[in-house]
Order: sequence, then structure tokens, then C-alpha cells
Amino acid sequence: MEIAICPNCKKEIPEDSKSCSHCLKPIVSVKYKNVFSWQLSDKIFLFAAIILLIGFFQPWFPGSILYEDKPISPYRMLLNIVDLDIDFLESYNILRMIIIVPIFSILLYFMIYLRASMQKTLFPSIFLFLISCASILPFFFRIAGMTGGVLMSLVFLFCIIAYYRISYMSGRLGYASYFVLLIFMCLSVFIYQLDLGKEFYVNLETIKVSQTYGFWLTWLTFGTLIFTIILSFMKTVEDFWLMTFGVLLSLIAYNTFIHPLFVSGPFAFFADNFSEVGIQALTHIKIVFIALAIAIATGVPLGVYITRNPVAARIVLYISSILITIPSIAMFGFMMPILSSIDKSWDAVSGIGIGAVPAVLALALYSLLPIIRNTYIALKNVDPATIEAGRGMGMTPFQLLIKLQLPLSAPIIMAGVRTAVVMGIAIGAIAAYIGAGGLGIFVSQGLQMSTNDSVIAGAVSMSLLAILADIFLEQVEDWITPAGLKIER
Amino acid sequence: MGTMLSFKEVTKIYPGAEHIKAINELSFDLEDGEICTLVGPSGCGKSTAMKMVNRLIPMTSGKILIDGQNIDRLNTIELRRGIGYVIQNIGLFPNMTIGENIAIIPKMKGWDEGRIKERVETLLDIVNLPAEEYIDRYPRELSGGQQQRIGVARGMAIDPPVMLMDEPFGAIDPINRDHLQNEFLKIQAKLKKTIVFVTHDIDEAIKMGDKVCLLKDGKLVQFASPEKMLTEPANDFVRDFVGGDRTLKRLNLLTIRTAIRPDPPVVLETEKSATAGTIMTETGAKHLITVDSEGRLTGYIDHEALKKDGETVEQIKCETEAFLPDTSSLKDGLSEIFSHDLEFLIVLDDSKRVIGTLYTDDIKKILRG
Ligand SMILES: Nc1ncnc2c1ncn2[C@@H]1O[C@H](COP(=O)(O)OP(=O)(O)OP(=O)(O)O)[C@@H](O)[C@H]1O
Ligand SMILES: [Mg+2]
Repeated sequence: MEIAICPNCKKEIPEDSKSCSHCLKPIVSVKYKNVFSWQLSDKIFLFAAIILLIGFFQPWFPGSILYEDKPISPYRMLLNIVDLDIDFLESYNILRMIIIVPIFSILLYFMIYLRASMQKTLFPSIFLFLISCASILPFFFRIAGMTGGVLMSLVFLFCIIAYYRISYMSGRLGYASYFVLLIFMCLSVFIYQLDLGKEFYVNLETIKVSQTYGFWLTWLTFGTLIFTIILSFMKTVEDFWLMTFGVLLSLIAYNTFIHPLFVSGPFAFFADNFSEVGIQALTHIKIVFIALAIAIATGVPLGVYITRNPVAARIVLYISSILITIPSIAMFGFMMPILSSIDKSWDAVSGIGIGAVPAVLALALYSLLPIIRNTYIALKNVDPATIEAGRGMGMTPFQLLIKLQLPLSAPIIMAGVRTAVVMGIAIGAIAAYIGAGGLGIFVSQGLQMSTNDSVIAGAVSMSLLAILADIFLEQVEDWITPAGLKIER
Repeated sequence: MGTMLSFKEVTKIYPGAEHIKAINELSFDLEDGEICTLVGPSGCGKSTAMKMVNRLIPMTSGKILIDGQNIDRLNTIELRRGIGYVIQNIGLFPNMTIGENIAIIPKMKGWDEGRIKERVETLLDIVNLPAEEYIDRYPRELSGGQQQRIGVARGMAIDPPVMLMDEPFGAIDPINRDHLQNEFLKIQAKLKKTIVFVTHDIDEAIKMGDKVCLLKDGKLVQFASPEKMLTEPANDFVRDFVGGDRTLKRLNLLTIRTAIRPDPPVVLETEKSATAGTIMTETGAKHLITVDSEGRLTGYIDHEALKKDGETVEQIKCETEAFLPDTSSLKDGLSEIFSHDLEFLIVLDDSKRVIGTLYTDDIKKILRG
């Protein structure tokens, strides 16, 4: 969380104050400080997280998992997933139970954490609308047939639009949608756990509480989370109705929307191929990261160099623009024979003509353009007066570069890196075709064997990766932007 | 005091603009400790001439000597670090705080932390921006005028013997500019730096300069002391440029001391009123200045006052505001005379003792030369 501080005395002040209440000086521009304040919900979430973390290394969490007659912890299970006798695991449901708890806890925590800003954006309302339509409309058609379904859908749409209108007019659209969504998410996971638990424990002959305390623990944790959320939100009668609506929505949505998604579908595919997805995601990240490192190491110096040589600038920018227009398949195709000829001349046994090396090189070439261009433009756009002042005071060209030009262009260079990374993750999908591995494998295999779940799982995980990388790099961009540049004039 | 900076037939032709000489055979010598103001219409080559001194702009021909050394023979970086530089468009480093901006060259020169901090604080004090408030701010949090003052402070950071300043007070309001100019002249009186000061404002040029260098289309039109430039303009261009009011401008340069009429008739305030009357009839003066035993001004007496009854001068004297110290400019003196519709102005020294009077006739005489 960020709080406003006075630039003079560095003490906390209200965000829109015109003068500091501590040092009485007028405030030209507010500065911000990152703080972590322990509110009640934060503490409960922390408590839940600790329980989950401990439980993860306990042999009895979230149920009785026996391996060669000995109970093992989820952690060990994940480590040894390949060696385990698949049959005993009662399908992979148990695995899903393990994964979904920490993942959803983190997700929920982030949602709570982003509460204030989420309530101001349209995102929760749109998402809520989509979810309710996607889950409830099919449900209507199923229970009431065509005409009934259309009628009920119309009524439902009318209701939800009326609800949006009312909450918008009272300025609570963001709040209300966010609240309902939160209930929905918590409850869905809760019911999911219950479902899995039922399936799993039905097959056990005797249920001993002592052997299944992990299972009850997860329930307890989730119960606490849901309870906290409800308590920290519910203050008026209106909130009570909101909650009722949230509960109803989650029950219906779960049965029509979530459950099928997890039982068979991309999520089920994820759970079933957990370790494979993890390995390929790591490969994907590795390829993109190495390519990026190469591109930065060559692109930034090149970008700096061409600011001093206009002829070279034209040539380099021209070539890198051409590079980026080459279709990725063709690019990978070019790489292979070129690298194979190196293989031949070296008489290499395990060649570099196929696999990760050509993929990395091709991605590095693609990443060059945004990095070179952004470096070039950023350096060119540094205020000439700043440079002249530096030069006139006797800074060497190297000092100018390190102390002025690079820090001042860091945000723009970083924007180039972000473009390159997102593009690299997408193009990396093609790398699977030349045997480099990566998440593209799920797409290519899925296409060959026409298993949609695999394709969707591959595509979704790649977009997730891209989004996460972008968020991370945005943060990095923020870190490396000099504080003096963040001040709006 | 020898020659510190000299231009010897310096010519600059910009590549791509070969038909014009941006600077055309410019020659002048500047003594150690002098301020030379480069003045002229926009585009006449002031900045160009100045930037050739620290080799930001290479000259086409001719040479520039600093302290007798040809600048072409010196290491560029060393040359520049020895010259304070304040540029026309401020050019503060937005990624550094005010403190870091000022400290950058001292840091590169390897000064120790304590010395740098002390220096930064003194400089901020000089430019009238309290250190504790501004030192940790960023340039973007300052107004244009404040930034320009930081620019000046940064130029003075290492106390360089030679400084180049390109319109350093251009963006500052008249009151603050006046303050900064005076403050700067005061510091200069102590530090005696050799300064090339670019401005387009002839008043500023005359006020700040020991020498004024008037340029037109890259050519030197006149290089002279401000006084001389006003009294003996070299040609019609100079006459026009300094303005029709150049005689009045001279008033700014001259102090009251130059036109003072010494030993005015005074009377001690402890004297009898009658004595005052006698002195007035004897000297024929319409006004009589009254002083205390130390010779300090207390008021004046005129014929009206004499009609009042009172034993001593002190009881009948009138208060007056018509006085100025002898260090004020003639312009201020004249302005005072006109605004109070006075016949003369009483002139005091530092300790407020009456040392003379100022009459418009004397001012006229001085201006006529
Ligand atoms: N890089 C350049 N290339 C070509 N011509 C230039 C260049 N820089 C300046 N000039 C020309 O040289 C002349 C002098 O420019 P300079 O910047 O020295 O003017 P100035 O006297 O400082 O004007 P101002 O008061 O507007 O700052 C102008 O006619 C200008 O057009
Ligand atoms: Mg200029």
C-alpha cells in the first residue's frame, strides 16, 4: 500500500493536502512511500497462509495420501510425482486439491490487497457481468427449454442491469461488484474443495479424523477467509443482500461453470499435467530470458553507439525493422541450416542446429528492434540543454552516458524490453516446432491430436506468463526510473 | 593584474551556413577579475562567442587565451572543469536532487563529503533558497526562476577563476533579479572572478559589466567600459542600442558621491532659534539642515519654521525624509528629488552624518562631462 508523505519532513499527510500539517510548508508535489500496514484482514490472511505453508510439508495434508503404506506430504508428492504409482492417487483430484488452495489463497489475498484500486475501476463489474451471463444463462436454458430460457434470460439481464444502475447511481458499482466477486471466488473454491473431498473420501473405507486433519484444516482456513471477507465488508442491510446475491451466484455458477471446467477441460488438463506444464513453462522462461539477455547486451550498446553515428543509425534501424518482419516459422527455419553447418564443420555429436540454440538466437534477433529503437529514441530525446550543461561543466562522454543519458532514458528503454519480452513469449510458442520445448508444445501437440484442452491450456498459460512478466517488468521499470522523473510538472 | 582572457581574431563559421560568419574576427582582452558583458540583438553570436571559450563550439580560426595559455593546447575536460558554466536554458539534471546537481563537479574532482555539503549550503544561501528546504528536492519541483538560480549556484560550485554565464537571470522576476544582481556583484567584489556574462538586456549589461562588449551580426561593434559606451557610443548602432535615454542610464552608473556639494550650512539643534535665523540670512540659504552633536541629521528649518515660537532649534525644526546615503545611484537621488519636489537632497555617509547636498544643477554638470 502507498501513502502520501510530505517531501520536506517525510511524514505522512493526507493525499490531497495543500500544505504539510507537520512542517507547515506548502506542498508542491506529493511523494509516496510504500508501507505495509497490518490490518485485521491482513493478519488473518497471514495466519491462513502460514497454516497452509506448514500443512504443505505435513504428511497428512490435505488427506491421507499413502505411498508404499506410508503417509507422504504434498511437497514430497510433488517432488516425486513421476515415480508415484498413479493408480493409488484416486485420479489426480487429490493433486488439484493441493494446488488450488495455495493458488487461490494468493489470488484472494491480492484481490483484498488491491481493494481500493479495484473498486475504482470497471474491471470487477465487467468481470461479474461476464461470469453471471456465462454461468447462469446456460443454466436457464437447461432447466426451462428454449422459450423459457429466453424469457428467464431476459428477466435475468433486466435484473442485473437494474442492479448495475442502482449501484452506479449510489456510487457503489465498483464496491458492490467487487464484493460479490470476492464472495463468488471464495465460495467456489470452498465448494470445489467439498466436491473433491466427497469424491475422494467416499472411496476410503474408514475416515479417521486424525489421518485427515489436513483436509479439515484447509476447510477451516477457507471458512475463516470467507468469514473475514464477509465481516470486513458487511456493514449495512444492502451488504447483506449483496452477500445473498453473491452466494446464489456462486452456487449456480459453480455447478454450471466451474465444476465442468475442472472435471474435464483446460483446468483439468493443467492439474493432470502439472509437472509437465511446470517444466515446459520453465523452459519457456529460460529461452526467452537468455534471448532477452543477449538482446539487451547487444541492443543497448548498439543503440547508444548509433546515436553518435547517423549513417550507422539508418542502417541498423533498417536492418532490425526488416528482421522483425520475417515470419517466425521462416526465421526458425533459417536458423537451423545455418547452425547445422557449424555443427558439421565442428563434427559435433550433439548439434546446436536444432533445439534451444536456434530458438534463443531467433528470439534475440526479434527482440533487438524494440530494444535498439527505444534506446536510440530515448537517448536522442534527452533534453539537449541537460547534455550541454553536463558537457560544458566538464563531464566526459562516458560520465554523460552513465550519469545522465542512461538514467534519463531508462524508462523508455525498459518499455522496449517489455515489448520484447511479451513478443518473445508469444513467438516462443513456435520454438516448440524445432524441438526447443516450451509451452508451445501443448499447442502443437494439441493441434496434432486435436485435443482442445491441451491447446487452450498452452495458450492460457502463455498469456498468463506474458501478463505476469509484463507486470513484473512494469515494477522493474518503476524501480529504475529516477525519482526526479516521476514528478509531474 | 594581467590579462586573464583574450580573444584573438576569433572567427566562427557554422558548417552548413558557410556564407555567414557567426563570429567575425572578434578580438578583445579581459583583465583578471573583470566581468565582461556580451550584449547585442538576438542571434548576434553572443552564445557562440561564449561557448568557444570552453570549446563547446570549436572555433574556425583565431585563438583564445586563458591566463596566457592557448585553450587549444589544454585538455578539453580539464579546461571545462576549470570554468564555471551557466547555460541559457538552465539544463539542470532532472534525475538528481538540487544538492546532487550542485555537487556533481566537486564530486568528480574528489572533494570530501563534508566540504561538498558545506559548499552546497553556502551556495544555496547565496542564491536565496534555504538549503534545508531545497537541498533534497528535484528540479521539476522548482519554478523556472528557482531552477535558474540553482543553475547559477551549480556554475559557481568549484569556485572557478573563470565563469561563463549565458543569460543567467533571464527567467527571474525583476525584484529577485535585482537582488541576485546585487548579491552577485557583492560576491564578485570579494572573489574577483573573470566572468563572461551574456545578456540581451542593455541595462543588465551596463549594471553588471566592468566591460561591455556589443556585438552585431558576429562583429564587435564596441568594447568599452559601460561609462564610455554611454558617453561615447562608437556609432549610430550603439547609440540606438543603448537607447535614447543613455544619459539617464549613466545616472545608474554614477553614485551620488560624484555630484555632491560638500559642507552644507548646518546648525546644531541645541542652538537658539535666533542663531539659526542669523545663519540663514548670512548664507542666504532657504533651508538649514539641523544636526545633533555627532553631526547626524535630525531635520531642517525653513522660513516658515522660524516663525514658530520656540527657544531652541530642536523645538522648531521639521522632520525630513529627503536624504540618501552617498553610495546610492544618481538615478535614485534624482528620483527622490522629483518625487518629493525638493530643491536639493541631503547626503549622508554610512553613520548617517550629513556630508553634503545634491542639487539637480550639479547632476546636469556631471552628465555634460
Ligand atoms: N549549430 C548552428 N548551426 C548553424 N548556425 C548556427 C548554429 N548555432 C547558431 N547558429 C547561428 O549563429 C548565429 C549566432 O547564434 P547564437 O546562438 O550565438 O546567438 P545569440 O546571440 O546567443 O542569440 P540569443 O540572444 O537569441 O541567445 C545565429 O544567426 C544562429 O542562427
Ligand atoms: Mg544565446
